[in-house]
Amino acid sequence: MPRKRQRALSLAALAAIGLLVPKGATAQTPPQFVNKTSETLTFGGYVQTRWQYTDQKDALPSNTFRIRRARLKVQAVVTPRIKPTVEVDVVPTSVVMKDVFIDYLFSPRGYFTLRMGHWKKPFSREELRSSSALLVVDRGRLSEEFGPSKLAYQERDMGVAVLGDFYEAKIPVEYQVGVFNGTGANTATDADGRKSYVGRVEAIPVAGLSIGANVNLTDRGVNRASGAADTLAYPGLDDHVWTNAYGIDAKFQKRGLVLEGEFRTGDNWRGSTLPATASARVKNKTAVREGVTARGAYLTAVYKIPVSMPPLVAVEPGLRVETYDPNTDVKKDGSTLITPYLGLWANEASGTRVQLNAVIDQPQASGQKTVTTYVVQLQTRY
Amino acid sequence: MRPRSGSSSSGRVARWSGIGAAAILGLASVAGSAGNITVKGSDTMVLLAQKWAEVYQKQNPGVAIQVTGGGSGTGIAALINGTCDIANSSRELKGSERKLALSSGVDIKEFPVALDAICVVVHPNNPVSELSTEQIKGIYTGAINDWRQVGGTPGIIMRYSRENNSGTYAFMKEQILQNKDYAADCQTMPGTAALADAVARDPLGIGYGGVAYFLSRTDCKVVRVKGASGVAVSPLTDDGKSIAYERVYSREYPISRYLYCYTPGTPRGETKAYLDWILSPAGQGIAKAEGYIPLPARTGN
Repeated sequence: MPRKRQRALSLAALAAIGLLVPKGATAQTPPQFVNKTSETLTFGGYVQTRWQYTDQKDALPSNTFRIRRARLKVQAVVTPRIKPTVEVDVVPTSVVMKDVFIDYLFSPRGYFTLRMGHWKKPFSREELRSSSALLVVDRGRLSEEFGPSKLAYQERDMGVAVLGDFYEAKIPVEYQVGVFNGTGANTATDADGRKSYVGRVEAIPVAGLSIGANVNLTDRGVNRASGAADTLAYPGLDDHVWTNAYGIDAKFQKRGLVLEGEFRTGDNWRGSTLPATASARVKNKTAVREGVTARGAYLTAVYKIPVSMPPLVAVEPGLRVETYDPNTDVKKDGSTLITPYLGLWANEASGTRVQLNAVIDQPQASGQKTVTTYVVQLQTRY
Repeated sequence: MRPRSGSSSSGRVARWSGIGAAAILGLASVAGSAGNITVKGSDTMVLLAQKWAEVYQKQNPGVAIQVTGGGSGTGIAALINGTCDIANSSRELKGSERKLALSSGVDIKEFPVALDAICVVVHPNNPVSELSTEQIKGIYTGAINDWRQVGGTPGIIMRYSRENNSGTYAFMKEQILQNKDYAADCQTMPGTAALADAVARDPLGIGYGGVAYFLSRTDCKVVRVKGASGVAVSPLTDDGKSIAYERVYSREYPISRYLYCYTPGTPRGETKAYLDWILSPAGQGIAKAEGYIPLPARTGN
């Protein structure tokens, strides 16, 4: 680099530094310290990498390594009352927004907090549990069917909610009630004016036993896009068609044992046929009741046993049994899933463990064959 | 997620179910372990906890008690994780800790074991000898920044505080700062001893901590505190050599709190015997001898 240019750059750098120095810096000021008494920024996240194999030979991919999740979460404390959160998932081809919301604490004890942004609608214990803390490797069929791209009762969405708990007052109850666009995750705008109303309440009546209840009332439109069939869909124009879902759940935990169960039922609007006439789709009525109902339940049991076999600190065998019925009017159209599980823990604080799953998916209809999917997953939180 | 076709195997389903159930039921019987008493938590209480353990072990040679500090939050987390038998805490459980414990199946029991008065200390050369709780709040929230504003000689106030896992930090925030945030320029110290050292070196410094730490230190000045009564009161006797117990019991001195031991469920066996001894006149006598404040009911106060 020519000497003249070097000198010019040095002068520019010095000038820039001069501009950055506070005006009073020349006077004697006490040393300033980084504020460590208030966690202004907290970084965290987790990574899940896995090998997956299915015994269905024509399925693709049937034998693959993949990065299941790579999350980065940043939480800030702007003031004691204002706490924004941003969480993204770094997948091989892009960065996907997960949680982006701001909490405003009306009560410093956490009784009432206003949340606005994009996060999971408060429906289902299993869905709200972080995927880094699931009892087995993945959520089950029920969460898949009630989740995004299917019935969409439980998914991330944009909205506003009031949430809180009363543990500080020694009342073991928490709640969340919200209004959401009803358009699902990562949708830029709400094409219609319809909304999804979702709420959950959870209580711990005795130590170790937690019970919860959820409700989701979603106003969906009728897809009348050019060439589209007259079916329920998000971007409707005129009609108001309510699709509802409900759930109850419970978890029992004592020492290393965890038992968790959940029952969910809801309008299977993707399997419904709308009333034939427009007049039948009366505004604000539950026209979809002429459709069908889906429901399902699961029970999971895991038991963590401390061991002294470095690098292992605990082993955790488990079993999950799940059933799903997409249409309660039709017999033997559902499936039963059995998931034996083994967790090998290397570090409890970070949740570092190897998880081994075998999901045995057995359709109830005769003639359909059982498919088994094996998963070996390594995960850690940071 | 799972395409449907492939090898039929309802027998395999049953077999896997059987293996899983057997694994859970069989291995469940392995649970449970006995051991010595592990105590973890509050740095404010660590001197007292170590002394209690030392004396109790001498009187009960078959018992081994391991005591470590780390802060109240650390101890409570360890209690919930099942890695200690007793958590020492200089504050009550937070709502988030109560929730985590309950959902984890841990029914935490609380035992007040002593009292503590929080001293506010300044450098011995600082002419300020008394502060109101409002002034202390103003200093620590950043509303008051110069000693001149509280009757001292002009100079920027240097605020020394504790880390956020400290029960003393949480207590001051809740009781004195009334849940307002600490000023951004507070310097965080890892323990009360480090905080006392910092104030002793800094003529413009102010700090706070459990009274036991400051009984023997002549390099920090304990200021009198004016509460709702409007009278400035010291937690120490007039000669500054011992604690003014009556002023603490009567709440005449306005910054005091209980110190707690927490157990996972109702204590049993050796842990129960140890806690009973801590609450006995013998244990409370040690608390007094170590510069803490014994429980009033146990001392006739």
